[in-house]
Amino acid sequence: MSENGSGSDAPAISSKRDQAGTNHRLVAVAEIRHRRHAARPTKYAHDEIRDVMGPWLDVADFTLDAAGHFLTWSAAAQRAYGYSAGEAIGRHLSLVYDDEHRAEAERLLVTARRFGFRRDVVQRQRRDGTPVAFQARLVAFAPPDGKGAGYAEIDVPAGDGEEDPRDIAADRLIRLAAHELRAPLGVVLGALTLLDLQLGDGQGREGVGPDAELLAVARDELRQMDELLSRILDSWRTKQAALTVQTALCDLREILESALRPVPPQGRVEVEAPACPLPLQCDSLRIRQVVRNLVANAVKYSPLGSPIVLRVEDLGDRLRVSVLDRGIGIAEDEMSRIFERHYRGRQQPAVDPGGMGLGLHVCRTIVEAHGGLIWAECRDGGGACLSFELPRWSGVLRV
Amino acid sequence: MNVLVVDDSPGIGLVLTRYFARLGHSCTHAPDGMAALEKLRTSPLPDVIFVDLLMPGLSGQELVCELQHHPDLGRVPVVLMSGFEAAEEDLPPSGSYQAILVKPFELQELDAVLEAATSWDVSSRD
Repeated sequence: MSENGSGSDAPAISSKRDQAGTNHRLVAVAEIRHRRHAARPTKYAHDEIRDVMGPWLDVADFTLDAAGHFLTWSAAAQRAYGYSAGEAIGRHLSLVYDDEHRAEAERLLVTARRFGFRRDVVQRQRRDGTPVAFQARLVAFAPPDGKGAGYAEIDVPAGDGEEDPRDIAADRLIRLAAHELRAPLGVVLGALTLLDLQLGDGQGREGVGPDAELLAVARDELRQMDELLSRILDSWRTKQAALTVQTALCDLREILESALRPVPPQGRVEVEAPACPLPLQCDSLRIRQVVRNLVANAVKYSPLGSPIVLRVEDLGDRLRVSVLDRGIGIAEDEMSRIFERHYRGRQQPAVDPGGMGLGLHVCRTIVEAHGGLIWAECRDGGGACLSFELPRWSGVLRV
Repeated sequence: MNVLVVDDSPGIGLVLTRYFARLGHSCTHAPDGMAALEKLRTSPLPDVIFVDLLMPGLSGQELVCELQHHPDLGRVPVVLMSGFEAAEEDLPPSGSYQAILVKPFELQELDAVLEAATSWDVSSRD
């Protein structure tokens, strides 16, 4: 059966790995990865690569000082907004807003300063007065000595406002590269296998001796490459898998209880929450997934048996959930990056915790779909605190 | 066993042809769907056809559909070869092929496919 239940009934080849690590595929039940809505892959990729790279080639970028005045202004920014560098530098960010949205400039800066990073669709105005929408990514720099504090922003066209075109482009590029690399890899692997067999004893067994050893090394390396590409494609598929958010009125306490029911065995999770019900408009399954991911993350990066606290704060129109641990912590410059897809912090436990670096990315996706925010902080005395805030009465956005 | 491999990759064609020859089978390679039809018209029927899905010109899907229009060709087992992301619309109709081999694959996996191919009953194919 296909993954999405719409596949063919034909037998296909599924794979499994035996104890020796050999990859076998068995003629069995069909399991081809159908992508009903995926762009049709092509072997003749040059045009597609050029197409894919388009959104990366014309990115407006500028930097701001701590007060929000332009310090630098790129040629792409000039094309995007119509102001020359001479006209923009020294002016405040509000320059690129119309009167109605001018206050948004300060709000964007404040949010970026608070969280270190802000990604948002912004409605702005060109020099000629025409409106323009961008996906803005604003990073705040705040060195301890205060020198060089400010912001850097990159803008890409907002498209339909549903997804950053650069993310779409990156997805397509990953899929394309992985697909185009895997095909020749299979040919080279097959050719080496044939050579190996020719070095054998003529009975279909693989060869022996120094030459066969070299071939074996080459084949092992190729298999590792193939495994890596396979994982990349898997993660792409994960991203493509449609997540839906269906909100209803829930009690956050019940969601937390449900999330902690299968408590990780080595975890010691202590809950600090108000005793009263905590009504919240949300997708309870998705928020439970966020809590589980955050707790699992804390367990993963904490010493065995180390205490983990799950704290809930009622902020009136918002609810904040924090997971605090005493683990290895997060480097200051990685606070926002840990929510990126595939990102794994530099600080890793002695024992590799594994994983694809998707858990926290999924958390951010879900939280943002609820109109919320998620962020990480270091704790005094060591460890990390990962928090998310949800508006109590959010509408359905998107994932 | 007579095997026909239809794939626009010369590398795949060469490697599979050589491998099937090692196993004692007779193998012919066609670089695209039209060449495959020509070979099928002029040569003895193969016992199994390996068809790449994505090919320029006549695609694997179109080739398999074309085979269905011929009573004899329609009885030859078909194994599709595809990258993992084959879309639903790239596949020929259900029942017109017997298996899908996901690229890249290890050559030894073909042993099991060939063994299974001998037992496939495609006489009831629509």
